[in-house]
Amino acid sequence: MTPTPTPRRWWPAAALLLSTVVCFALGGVLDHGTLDLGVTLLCYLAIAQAWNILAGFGGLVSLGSAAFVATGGYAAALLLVHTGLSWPLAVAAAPVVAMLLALLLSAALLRLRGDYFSVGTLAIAIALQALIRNWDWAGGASGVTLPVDAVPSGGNLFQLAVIVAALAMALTLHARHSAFGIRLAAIRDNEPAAAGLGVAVRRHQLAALLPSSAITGLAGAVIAFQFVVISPDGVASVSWSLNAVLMTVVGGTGTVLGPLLGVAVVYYGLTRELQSEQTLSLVIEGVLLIAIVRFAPQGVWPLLCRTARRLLGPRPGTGRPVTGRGDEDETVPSGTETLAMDVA
Amino acid sequence: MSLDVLAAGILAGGLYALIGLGISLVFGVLGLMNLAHGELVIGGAYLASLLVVDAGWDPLAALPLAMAGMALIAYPLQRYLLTPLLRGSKSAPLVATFGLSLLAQALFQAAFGTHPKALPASYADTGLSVLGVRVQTVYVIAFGLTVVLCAGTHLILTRTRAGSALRAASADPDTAAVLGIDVDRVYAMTFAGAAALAAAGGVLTGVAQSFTPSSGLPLLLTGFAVMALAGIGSVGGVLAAGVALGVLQSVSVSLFGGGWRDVVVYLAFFLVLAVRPQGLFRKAYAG
Amino acid sequence: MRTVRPSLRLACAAACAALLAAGCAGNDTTSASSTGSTGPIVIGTSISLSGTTVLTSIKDGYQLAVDKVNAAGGVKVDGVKRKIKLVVLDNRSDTNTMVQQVRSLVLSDHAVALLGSCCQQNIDMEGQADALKTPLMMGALPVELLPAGKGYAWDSFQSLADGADKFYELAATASTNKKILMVSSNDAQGKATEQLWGGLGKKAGFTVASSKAVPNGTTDFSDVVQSGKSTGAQILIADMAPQDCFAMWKQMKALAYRPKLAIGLQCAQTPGWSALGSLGDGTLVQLNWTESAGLPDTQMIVAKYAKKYPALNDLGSVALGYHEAELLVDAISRSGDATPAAINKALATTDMTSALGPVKFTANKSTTPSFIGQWESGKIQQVWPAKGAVPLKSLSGLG
Repeated sequence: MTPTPTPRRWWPAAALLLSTVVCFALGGVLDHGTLDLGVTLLCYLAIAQAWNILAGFGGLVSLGSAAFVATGGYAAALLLVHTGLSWPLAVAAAPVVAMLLALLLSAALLRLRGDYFSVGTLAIAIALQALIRNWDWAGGASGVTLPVDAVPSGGNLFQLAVIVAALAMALTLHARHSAFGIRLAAIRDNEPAAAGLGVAVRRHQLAALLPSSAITGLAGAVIAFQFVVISPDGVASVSWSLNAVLMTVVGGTGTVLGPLLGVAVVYYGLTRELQSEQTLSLVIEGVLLIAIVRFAPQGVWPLLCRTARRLLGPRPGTGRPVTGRGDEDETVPSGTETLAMDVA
Repeated sequence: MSLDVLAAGILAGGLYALIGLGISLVFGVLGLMNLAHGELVIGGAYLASLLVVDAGWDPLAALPLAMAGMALIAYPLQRYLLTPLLRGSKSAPLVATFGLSLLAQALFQAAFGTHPKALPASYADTGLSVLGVRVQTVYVIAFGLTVVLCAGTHLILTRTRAGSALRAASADPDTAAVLGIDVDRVYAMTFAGAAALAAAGGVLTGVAQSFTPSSGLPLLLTGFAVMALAGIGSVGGVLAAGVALGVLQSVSVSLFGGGWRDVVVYLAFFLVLAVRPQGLFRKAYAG
Repeated sequence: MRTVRPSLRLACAAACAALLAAGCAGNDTTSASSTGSTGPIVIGTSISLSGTTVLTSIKDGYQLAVDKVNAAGGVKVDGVKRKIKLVVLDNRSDTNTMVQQVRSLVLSDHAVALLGSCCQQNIDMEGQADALKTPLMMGALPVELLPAGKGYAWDSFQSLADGADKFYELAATASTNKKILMVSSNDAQGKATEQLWGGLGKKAGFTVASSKAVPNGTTDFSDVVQSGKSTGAQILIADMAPQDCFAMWKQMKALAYRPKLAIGLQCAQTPGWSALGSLGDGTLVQLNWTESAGLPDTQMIVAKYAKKYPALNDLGSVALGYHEAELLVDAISRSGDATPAAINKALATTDMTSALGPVKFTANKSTTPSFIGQWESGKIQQVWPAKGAVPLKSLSGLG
């Protein structure tokens, strides 16, 4: 066994770059309905992936995605409405404001352990929604209407969403393959042990929280552009938090591609396909969610990969045992182990 | 702020505690965040409505049956669905409970319709005057019942064999299993007990307020707030946290107006967490 | 360090690209635009059919109007008779879902026009209609609350001012001290209602003794009840979600607050109000339709839906949905080419009599009649205007 962390490989980054370029180009050819669906899916992907970095890799199970979606969305919207900045600047401000919020809260949030972190982040999301509802400068309960002509739409909005989602994917790849990611996973698996090995726990958690909030805020700005009208019941709704969790868990927590599949299954496969079924849609969605986690508790993506591998079978001659390390088919390997080997 | 309002806050806190007790128990013992807890509460109310609205029972007479009914429904859910999931991953059971909550809402809609329902009782809209303070009778009953149920839960946890098995399973399931404790059964019993407590809260909610198939979410959030204030795994803390939540709501409404209630309550709740990450009232029973 | 075979890596990379592409490519198989063809004209609605608000009766009204047109062979556009296809999506009372559905209706299903939902959701939907440049015909939102947008949202419903005036006319006939306790939900509709009803009350010689905002889902109203008691307000105006009113009515009775008149805007509208038993007796409610008002199509609506909806306010919602859809169908038939822009233009020149009476739009709004009803033994009866009404009874439930 070689005592190195999971090495960076060229192919995931290349695949990401390729799909980003392809998707970006698609922004010029697809029809409006597909583009709009794409924006929705890509925003969910960015939010789910941001949650995945925090929870799947960092072990910080957040229910606060909604707070950062709202912060990003409102930051971009209020800048556009009240200062007349151009939209690229408003988009750029969204992740900054979201990170500032995260930084402000981190002193308290990162003191919370395990389940308390989840409950604390949920409290933040609800408090922020209630705050916006009472904040007249931000439109109060009725919300803000963005100047339609001053925000990107159609293909341009789609391309913006592609960039945001690609950033989220790139960040996940980094968390998956870098030494930073290994140390983060070590904290997730055994905090005292990681601290004992000399890992600065708070600093690493903060280093996961900030970019995760930034991506979520960025997605919030795109959602604000897409929705045009944003209100506390919309962008600040706790449903963003729930969806981030659902989509990532269904796809595969702690994997790079799981959230991608999760977004497709939960939004495109369940919510969207069943939307004309009314009561029946609740039944089908409920049953399917239960069935998915019952038969694929690690997520659909790892299950697919395992199935694929079983079907392909070991090829004679390679001789090397097949495993999940470095592959996308398992949750992140135990960080402490790897780190211990690393340090040794 | 008048004494009437303060008293109402304290008494409402009893009902909050009852709703928070079940969710806290499941979280503390199983480490399971139960997103279907609100539906367990509402389920209790709907079960009772079968006896109260359709057969003319008194809600308090229907209450034990509703509790037993919800426990019977909850036991197999935990035993055959959620416990196997808990072995696999931490977040899979969370998604499963969300799925259960959607299913339950659909079931309520199909079986009982979507209009708000209430459980009629003579004490629902009568009041009591104690030392010049006027309070709503049903909240007094709810508070008394919560105290009794909290005390009962505490005694079961600390004084019975089942309780020690539960505490052992909560502290370290693997060791408990080695010691011959049937952890699966303990988990299922815990969940069933939590469902029964939820059902009791549901019946009282139905008498004091009303319920619809989608009333579960606000109740779940109330439960979360109580649990976070209480600290996980302390029955007395849950009662204190419920009352604290009720008083906090009354005070913030009096000081800042109703619109700011949730801002004040949830910020306070977050700050409490930040200062005391283990909860305000934690007196551990587990471990 | 164990590794994977290169072929699997390649497979995963390919899958990654394929998935992203699939996510992007979505459903580009939807039918072509409905304009300029002889196929059905698509109209859509994202309406709340589950969750906190359930509007099945309005949806039935929409379907009733569309079925009637289609039974007659469709609507004549540019000399060709075309059927109308109504796409109904349930947004489960969720704002985000509503926005996503409205966008998919217009952009993917190529709906040329939209029908509304209700209340706060209609306010949120107005911006979508403007952004998508697609006409949105709505009711169930008092006309004063329609946001000033870019002219794609049309609201034909009661006016708050008219409703308030009628209520104060009625209140003046009862013997009260003319002091009002106002309770409204903490959202856009609640806040606007509070201001408008409060202002008109003062004009009509009443005083607002106390005004309280409550967030949705409030269960402890002791602060509100306390202020009602201490100010001695004898008239209660509550504008909240039904569940909230249930808790408040029980608490008022228990804490011995006895107003002489009480109206539940939004909240007493639910047929579930009868679940309160005698406690709900005497509570006033706003109606947009009554059987006795002599409005067009009353008999048809009663014949078709009285069995499904025994409650007067539900039947009124069927009539409202029917009225909205009638107006939209009329505009489509006058639009010439059934494009969104042409339908929007045609709506502006609407001049017809629908199930809620004569309709003409001024600044995208047209006011339909208001009635005041009163709950008595699980039923609502019209008590104002005096024509077709029964005499006002006392607020016995809270007495």
